[in-house]
Amino acid sequence: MRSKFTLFLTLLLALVTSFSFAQEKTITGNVTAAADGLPLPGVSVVVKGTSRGVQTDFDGNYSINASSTESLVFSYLGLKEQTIAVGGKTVINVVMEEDAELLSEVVVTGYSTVKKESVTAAQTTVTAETIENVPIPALDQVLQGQVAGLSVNAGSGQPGASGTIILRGRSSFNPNANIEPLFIIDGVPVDEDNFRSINSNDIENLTVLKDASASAIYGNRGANGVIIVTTKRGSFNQPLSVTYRSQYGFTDLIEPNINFLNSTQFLTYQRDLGAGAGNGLTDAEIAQFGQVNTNWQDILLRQGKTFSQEVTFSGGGENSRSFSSLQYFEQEGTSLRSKLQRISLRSNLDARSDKLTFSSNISLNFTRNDFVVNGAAGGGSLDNPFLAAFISLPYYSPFNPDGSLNVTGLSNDPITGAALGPTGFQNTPFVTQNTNRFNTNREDEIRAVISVSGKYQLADNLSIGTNAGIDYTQENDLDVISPVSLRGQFNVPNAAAQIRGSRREATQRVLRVNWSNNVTYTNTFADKHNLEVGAFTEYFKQQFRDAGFTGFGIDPRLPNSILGLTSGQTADPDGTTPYVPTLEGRSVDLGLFSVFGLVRYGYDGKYNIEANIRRDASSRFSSDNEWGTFFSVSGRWNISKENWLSNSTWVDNLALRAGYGEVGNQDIGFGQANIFATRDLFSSGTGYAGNPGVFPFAIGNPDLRWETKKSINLGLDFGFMKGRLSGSLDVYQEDTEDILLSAPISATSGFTTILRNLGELRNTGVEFAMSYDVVQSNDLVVNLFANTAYNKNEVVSIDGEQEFVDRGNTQSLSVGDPFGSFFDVRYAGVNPANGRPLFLDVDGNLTESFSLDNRVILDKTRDPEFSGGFGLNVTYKGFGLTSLFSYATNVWRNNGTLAVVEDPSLVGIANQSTRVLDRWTQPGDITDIPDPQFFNRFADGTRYLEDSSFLRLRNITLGYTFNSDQLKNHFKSIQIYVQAQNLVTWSKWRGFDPEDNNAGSFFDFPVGRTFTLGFDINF
Amino acid sequence: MKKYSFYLIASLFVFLSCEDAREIDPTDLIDSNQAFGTVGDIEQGVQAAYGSYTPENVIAFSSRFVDDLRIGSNSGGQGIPDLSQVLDPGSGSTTGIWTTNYSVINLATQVILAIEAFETDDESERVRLNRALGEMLALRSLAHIDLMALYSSDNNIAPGGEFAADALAVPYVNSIIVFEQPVRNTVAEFSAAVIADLDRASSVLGNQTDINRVTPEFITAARARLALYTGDNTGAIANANSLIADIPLADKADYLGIFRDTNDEEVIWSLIRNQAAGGSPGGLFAFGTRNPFLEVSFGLGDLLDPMDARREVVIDLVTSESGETRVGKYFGRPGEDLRNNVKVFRVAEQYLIKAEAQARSNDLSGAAATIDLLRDARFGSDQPTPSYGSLRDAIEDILLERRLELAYEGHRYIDFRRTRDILGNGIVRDSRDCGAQGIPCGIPVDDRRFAMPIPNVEIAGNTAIIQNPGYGN
Repeated sequence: MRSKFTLFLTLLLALVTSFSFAQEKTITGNVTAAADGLPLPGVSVVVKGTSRGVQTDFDGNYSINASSTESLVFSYLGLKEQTIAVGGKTVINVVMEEDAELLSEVVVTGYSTVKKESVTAAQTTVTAETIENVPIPALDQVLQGQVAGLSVNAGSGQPGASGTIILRGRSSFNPNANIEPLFIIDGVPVDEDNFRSINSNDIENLTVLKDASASAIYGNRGANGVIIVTTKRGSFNQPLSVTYRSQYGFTDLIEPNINFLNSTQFLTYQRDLGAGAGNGLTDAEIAQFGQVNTNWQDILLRQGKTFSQEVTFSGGGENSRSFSSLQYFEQEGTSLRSKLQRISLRSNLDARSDKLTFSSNISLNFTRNDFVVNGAAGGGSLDNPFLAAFISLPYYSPFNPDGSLNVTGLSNDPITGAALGPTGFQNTPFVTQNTNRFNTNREDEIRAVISVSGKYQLADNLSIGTNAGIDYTQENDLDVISPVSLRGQFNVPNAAAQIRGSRREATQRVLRVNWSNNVTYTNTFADKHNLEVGAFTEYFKQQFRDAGFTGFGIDPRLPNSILGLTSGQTADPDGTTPYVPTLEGRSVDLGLFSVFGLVRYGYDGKYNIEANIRRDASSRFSSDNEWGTFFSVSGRWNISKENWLSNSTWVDNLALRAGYGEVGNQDIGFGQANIFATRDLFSSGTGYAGNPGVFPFAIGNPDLRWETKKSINLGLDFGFMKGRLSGSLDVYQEDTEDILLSAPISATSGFTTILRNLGELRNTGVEFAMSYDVVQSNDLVVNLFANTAYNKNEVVSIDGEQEFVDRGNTQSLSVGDPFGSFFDVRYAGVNPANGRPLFLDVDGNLTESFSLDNRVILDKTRDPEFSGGFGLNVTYKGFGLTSLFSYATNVWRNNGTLAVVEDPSLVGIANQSTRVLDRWTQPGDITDIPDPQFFNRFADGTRYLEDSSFLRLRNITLGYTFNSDQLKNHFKSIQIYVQAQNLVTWSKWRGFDPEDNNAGSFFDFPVGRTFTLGFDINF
Repeated sequence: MKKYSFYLIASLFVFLSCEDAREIDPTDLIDSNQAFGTVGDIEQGVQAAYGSYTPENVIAFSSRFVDDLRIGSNSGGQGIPDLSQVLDPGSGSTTGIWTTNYSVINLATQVILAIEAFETDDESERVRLNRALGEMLALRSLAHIDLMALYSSDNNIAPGGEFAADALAVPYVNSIIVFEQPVRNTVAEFSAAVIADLDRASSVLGNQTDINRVTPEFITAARARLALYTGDNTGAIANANSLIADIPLADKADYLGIFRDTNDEEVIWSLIRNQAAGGSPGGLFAFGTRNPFLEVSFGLGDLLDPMDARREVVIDLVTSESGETRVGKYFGRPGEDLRNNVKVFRVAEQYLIKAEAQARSNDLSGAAATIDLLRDARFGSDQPTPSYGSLRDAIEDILLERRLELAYEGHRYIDFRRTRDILGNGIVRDSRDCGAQGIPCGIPVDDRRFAMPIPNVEIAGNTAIIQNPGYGN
């Protein structure tokens, strides 16, 4: 061994020494593709063993200095690398062969990488090109429509808000269970919500492990699939390259598909209903007061700006390489105060020697998020601008008499003169603006994902490796009700307090430590038998800490300081002490320890099998159920490698995959009741009159264990016509067993539920993805791609006995029906004879009386039947056009927003939709709006259950790239592009946004439409 | 080299202590075996039980469902389901009342069992434990009585009605339930068990005088209420008399102060609501600076004589804007809008209990005299003594008096269902309080909604329980 090394060193020295003697000369040439004979731009040409390299230009030409003793290496992704000795040549033209079986292409899978042709699992890789430069600061939303079977729903239009990611259907009906995939960034498992905050331009690729064949090696964390993110790295032997990216844009609201009454219509409607200011007005008075007609959307909502600057450095020498990036991103939401600012920094380093490789990844983010509403109030908060924009009264002027914007509210109704409480209902639009201007609800997040990994070659076939990672998130919440704001002056801490306002600060930190070690043996026997065996251990620990306070009474001269708060002991003249601060805090630890192994065997590139097994211990369960075993077996048959097909001119690749595996989900919920669900617990709290009290917290179930998913997957990968047409088809069945159900128990226990492993749920589905180069010529490439997924969800068993459990509208369980099926009374329109709403009883007969007894399971759920994406990418010379459509079919949600703006009981204080003009007024009227006297928003069944299926042009980008010739070699390239997000949406949904992660809308913050202009400059 | 690598590999697998990843105890919660280790711990359980008792749930439902409220000027839809008289096994009101009361019963039972298991020779500790035991038995009884008053049912409106001896009450619970499925006891079984708890409470409580906690008078008041509901007229009169003899009615001048927490005249049990513990009963009708989403109904407001001290208590005459009749009973204290203690037992109720029991015992003139005493006190002057020609007349008048005296104290719905066997009345709202905006004007006398439905949460976990008539199952 030593002698070999010495020999190598000697050779190396000899080579190095020879540089100084060899004569350098300029070599030029042209690189073309064997497939079509066309020039290949972007081929890397490197002098072997050095960092000197260039890329071919747009016409495939290159020019490089080298000496006659050196060799040139030509490489291009997906093509066979070629090494050509320079010798006496000064012109070297190269024809690059397609790497027909893509032998060199390696893809990421659980804890390892495999050749693409050996992949036995259902997995999809998304590459950098499709996620770069999308102006969405939440990576999960960038993935919408990209991967068959991966359903992503944005929860909010607040920039950076986390959405919900569901792979292959909901795997549990336990409302506390995590149903989102496990996210791994460069070997570090990260929090699925914080995963969003990574700079998506840093991502090299992202692999989605869909079935248990691949995810079983993640044991009791793999049940919902795994998403593995690999960030960009430098290249060895490549000169430093610098990329500068810049983006500017704006976000607008999408038209809501609902119209609101103008002042005249509204006052007339009030008069008709005998309520509010319009009651008793004459036509002339209505005409007079109707002259003030405010569209509150214009006042309360806005166009948000987007701005981003980024610079990246990438390069490497013989034994080390690095990639660094620095980004500033800023995006405003479509309401005042809604804003995200983020600084991201990344540094990835690799070093290698003969036997040792070492990598480190450091990513740091600082994110500042400003939210619209103070406190945890949801859509129903009167300060929510997306509520106020709908319901505010149109006959109120937004302006003061002097023409300035009124942000302090009216003291009297302009028509009736009735006094309006300063923060009363009718003053909502003013209070909203006041809150947005004077108060603060801010979240500062510091996030670090750091990992180091190393691999040491013990012997030719034996290596050991280690990967240690830290995912650290610290969130500082700041929630200030300013003493000068309306809320501060009139509500906080209470109406009578002498010193006004409140300040909440809370710090939450989550530290996750992960360390895995492995021993791997790989060998090839008789040139045909490939064997890989790995053994692993993994340690995981999560610490969650949360501490904060809310203090009351702010000195207006110290509005930004904790020291501006009263001590809390301050007493008002009336003897009360309204300033006592409140404290909050949590401390939760979680741990996992695992031992696992995998075996891969391949024969002659034709047959591959893989098996893995994992033993996991979780801190969540009692000692009897602490350890669990998970495994998978899968195989792949590369049919196109069989002799009878290998000479086919049109089949490049054809492979069958099959896998079976069992995975677990130990993440049965984060709250203490879930983490310590095996124990009887009491909590300390505020008892009677503020005295300390001890309360029963939960009844434990010592028999709990994790939910287990058994999945089977069959897949077909294909590639035809020299790669022009490729794709894959997968069918699967996934059975989740032992689902933790909050099983009902008698409320006489003091509780209504206890966690038990009871349920069984099945997801069956088909996924198809394809890509086709319709035109493939020198100047023009037209590529069409599409993916679609069909998923059917079925509750197989609830607890072995019951067929049905009433858990409310979308949580009810019914054996044989999909989980999340709506369970409600069917609304059947308006009786033309008397204007009363009609319903169907359980037997389908019309009835005028509303009763919850008539609820039925409907064939409608919030989860799509078909979902996916498709698009067209065109490149013509320097021009590039990319587009992505996404869609979801048969999605149903309750439109609670519309129900409020059509509720006649609110007519006295809130504006209404123009649909109320079509209400029933006399016998014979055919309408779907009942006589207002019979309307009841809380007894309307499915009246507002709406189809929120959609087709959306999610992204369209048009760009032009100037190559280095055009730029006279000042720059390598410059790309300029314009981009639109959510340009067009087709949906029947009546509201701003059909797409959301809730089953019912209630004045949600809608996702907007974003236009951006961007520049990428490569030096 | 070989040896080196062997150690390296071996160390990778054993180096990590996996124990600290696998064995983690809660830091923010108390394991059950450490919950009641000392007398102080047990007293914290008592504080928790008091803190959990929430008569506001019944107050909210009873006042919204019947005829004492209308939609207020700041309505955003709050309280509309009850006001719309939507009452199903899934309704929030039945779910809330049932689960809250049983969680009080469970907590009280846990404390009682902990006291029974607690060993001490220290006399002062024993005195503290006895008081705690008496308090928990009494509070558990009251939570039971609340439930029976709302849920008991016998399927018809016979004399004695919903509270006949063999009608179904609710499960009486004095043990820790997990997977057991308790059945509904008959009213006779149920009240016998509750009375036994009250007897035991009396025997251990000691001579307590804090009106914010359980006192001997609390226990007597609970007995009187239970006796009236279950048709024990003699017992009702005896218990009421005992309290009437002890505690005078407030003067007219002091009446408002009772509800503003400036005096505690005639109060038997005042459940503290303060800043530290939270809870604002006035929040059942209004928010913020008394912006009302529900207001005193015209039907009730018109009944209140300007000379009657109760008018300015029921209606907030201080802050109501023109056209408004804000609820004033929980007006609030300085610096604490809408927050007042809840007077669960007042001696005024005892007069009404006594009068009704007298009437039901055919002592119509005695009933009239008892009512007259109450009216004189409220008007601050001698009022004409009513004259009852029949039981129906008497009950009708007593019910009217209860409506005025006990408005927004959680009695109205119970009173309606208790008396409909005699009065034959359904709910009929004033026409100005209903009709528009989807608010119905009443329900017929034989409607199922005169007994609350056993909530779905119970039925889901307890297949042995019998639902009330008309609600399915």
